[in-house]
Amino acid sequence: MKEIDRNIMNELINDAQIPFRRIALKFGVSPETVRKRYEKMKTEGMINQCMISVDLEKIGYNGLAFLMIACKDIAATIAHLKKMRNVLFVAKTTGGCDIVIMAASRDMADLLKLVEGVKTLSGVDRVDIFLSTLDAPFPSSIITPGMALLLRKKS
Amino acid sequence: MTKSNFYLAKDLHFAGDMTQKAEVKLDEIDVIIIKALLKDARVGLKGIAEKCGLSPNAIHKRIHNLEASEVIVGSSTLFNPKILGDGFTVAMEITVYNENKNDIVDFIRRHPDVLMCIEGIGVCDILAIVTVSSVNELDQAKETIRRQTGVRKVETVILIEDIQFLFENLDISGEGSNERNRP
Repeated sequence: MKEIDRNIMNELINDAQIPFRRIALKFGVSPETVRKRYEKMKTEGMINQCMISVDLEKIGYNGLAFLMIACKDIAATIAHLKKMRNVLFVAKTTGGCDIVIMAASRDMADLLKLVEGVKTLSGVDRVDIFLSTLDAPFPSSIITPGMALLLRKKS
Repeated sequence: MTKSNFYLAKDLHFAGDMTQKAEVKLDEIDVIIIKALLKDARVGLKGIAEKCGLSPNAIHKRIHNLEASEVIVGSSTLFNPKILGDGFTVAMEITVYNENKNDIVDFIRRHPDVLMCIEGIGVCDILAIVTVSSVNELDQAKETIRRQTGVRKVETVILIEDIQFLFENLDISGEGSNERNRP
């Protein structure tokens, strides 16, 4: 990985909206170079997502739920889950369960409706639940400084 | 992130209708703006403006208001863990003895392999998403976490797909919730 790419990444981790001008100034390159490197990283799939953080509690959400799902037809279930209301993340897994999903909930009724919805999908055998509160902006509060450390470690 | 010792009290808030923070009323255009910025924080004002038929200036003002009311709080970038080599992503379900929970969460958040760390209740006490480059590294990460005082059990599940948030599913306006939730 190029030094300039690593520098750009480190700047973007905690501020996705930082002007390219400022990164350019800091590392003594032209803003155009920063923009080009950024576009390249994006098309090459190095950047998964550049996103604002939202205080979900302020817009009526109260909890974050993770469901660990065991099911028979994994591909069909994933396709269903990816379209469900408030489901923010779906991943196929191997281990104790087949699919892990993350969903935001407004209240207990909302959560129960989600769990019922998942349980009634055909082929779903078991649903385990992990519940968390939303007392900080999402998703920046759940993303650890780990990635920055990792970038430094591998350099 | 503020850490409180009153986990139970906090968790109960979720069960009841006692919202701690005053809900900010959003209109349709606010929802469009938030969704656009969640999808791509670097999207230009012009692009959003065209979507809702307003001037870029008006959009700028609205974003400023959303930031002032702390609905939008900063931004972050999620990189593909694969940039670090042929890595894979693992979810760790960590069960702890409750008295040390805060220390353990702090330790896990600072561990270089950990991408995400969430505390809560249910099948485990802490859920950590970890990126490692080999089975050996996974074993090392698991062992260091397992050896922390207060950790009772660490279970791992391998994630096959990349982490990508599906913000388009977020029902910000609350249209999809049942009658009871409507104001």
